Amino acid sequence: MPAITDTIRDVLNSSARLAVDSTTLGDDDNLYQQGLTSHAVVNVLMGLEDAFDVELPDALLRRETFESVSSLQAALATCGVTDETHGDAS
Amino acid sequence: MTRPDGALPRLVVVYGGAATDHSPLRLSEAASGVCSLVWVVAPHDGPEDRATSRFIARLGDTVDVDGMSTVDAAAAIRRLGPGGIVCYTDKHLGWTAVLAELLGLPFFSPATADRLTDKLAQRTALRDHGLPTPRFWDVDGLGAEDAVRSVIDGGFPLVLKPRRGTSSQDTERIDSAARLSAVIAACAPGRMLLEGYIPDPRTPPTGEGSAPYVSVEILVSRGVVSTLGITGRTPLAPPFRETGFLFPADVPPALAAELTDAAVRAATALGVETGVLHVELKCTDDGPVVIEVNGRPGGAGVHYLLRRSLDIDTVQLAMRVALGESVRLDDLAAPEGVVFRLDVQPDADLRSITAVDGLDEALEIVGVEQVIPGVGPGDDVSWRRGTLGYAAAVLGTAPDHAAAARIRDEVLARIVITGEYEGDR
Repeated sequence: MPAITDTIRDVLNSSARLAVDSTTLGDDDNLYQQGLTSHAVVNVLMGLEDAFDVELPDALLRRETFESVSSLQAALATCGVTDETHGDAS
Repeated sequence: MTRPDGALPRLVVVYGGAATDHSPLRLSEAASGVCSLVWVVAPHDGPEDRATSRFIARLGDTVDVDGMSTVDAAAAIRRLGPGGIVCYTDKHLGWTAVLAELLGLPFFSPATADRLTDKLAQRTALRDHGLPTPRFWDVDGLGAEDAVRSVIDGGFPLVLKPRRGTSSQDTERIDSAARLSAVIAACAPGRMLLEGYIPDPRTPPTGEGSAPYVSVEILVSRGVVSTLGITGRTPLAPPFRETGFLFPADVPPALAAELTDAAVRAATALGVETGVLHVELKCTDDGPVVIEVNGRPGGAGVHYLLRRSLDIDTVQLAMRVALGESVRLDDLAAPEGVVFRLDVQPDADLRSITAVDGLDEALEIVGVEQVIPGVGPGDDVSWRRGTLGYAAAVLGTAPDHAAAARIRDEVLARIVITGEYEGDR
């Protein structure tokens, strides 16, 4: 089972239209700097919610949530998504 | 601006869709602490963007007006007790103006909205108020041979543009009688405007690396005008595609005053009493000439520049004045350095993209803060998409205009677009 951050990167590669392959980015690298737009955030959100079968709280629908792989991981953790539960889901 | 019950006022945002409007996330952030948004997706003729619709539904109240008359839409919205209304897309300003009138909310009058979105009506209003304008014609009126002859006798070049359109889409330079006849024959009724080309100045009054045209960003609040700043441009890509924005513009103070004065006169001529405007002007030997007045804040590029440079959120300003707040911004601090957005455009003759290389290398240039990919491998391209057909947008800051020009040179050297040309297929 891939780690959460691997799945996040898969979603970013398919929906974020970044300037670089997200697998080349560190967990804390700024995604906006790499070309993420606030328009593309919509597709990233939908992609993550589909991939992890969760719905992020509406209060997290703000720019900071989508700033890095780490911040996305933290947002998913509020829905109970961790590497352990991600593995269990499989 | 809170309501008696302590809640934030409700602001109707007529949303034009992901292709033309600010993102829902940006609008939501701008509303934070100012108002709660009531989303109304404007009647549209394109495919529904389900992802955006689902996203919007999580950001506030939504009113589904699909299939409703404007009167019925107004009635449905009225039930939510809105305190104001905004719209950030040219295409829907007219519909929003009618809605606002029905709801009794401050906005452009329908007549003003028409002058802000129909370039023929706008040119006519500017001319009637004594502002300098190029020669212009409704292409519908050029059916007769003598009418065309009088246009030709006035000389070339001419510019053909949609009466209602943005981002220089379908805007074409006409240099010959043969081409003029061909485009007149091909024009759909009621659609196109023909203008004389606004002459280039003999000596550009804008600094080296800047094109001789700018936009003036202004705020009108209850009839009181504040100038937010003047945004410069890098030279156009053929035929009329924008390649970059610089804030502040590299213009001497006397010219800045002339440009601001012309922009304010234009706003007055069109009957604007409230809102944030993006007024484009060209510098000529005879003084500034208005290219066009947009009844909304400048798009994503200008929004970024003012926010990054002056910490001014033009989207939020438009919300505040729409809610009736009296806003006056005088004596804004002079920005430090230059903030830029560079749009790297494909060649005008390119028809499809096979590769866009060097985006990661552009990000390594000192001063570059963000690289946003645009069209990419596999995409068909055309100059007819106007400025929106860029391959990359590069955003950042420089200590001065000369440094910004050097960064632009470096960006253009590093980002390489390859693809197929018309004859390749």
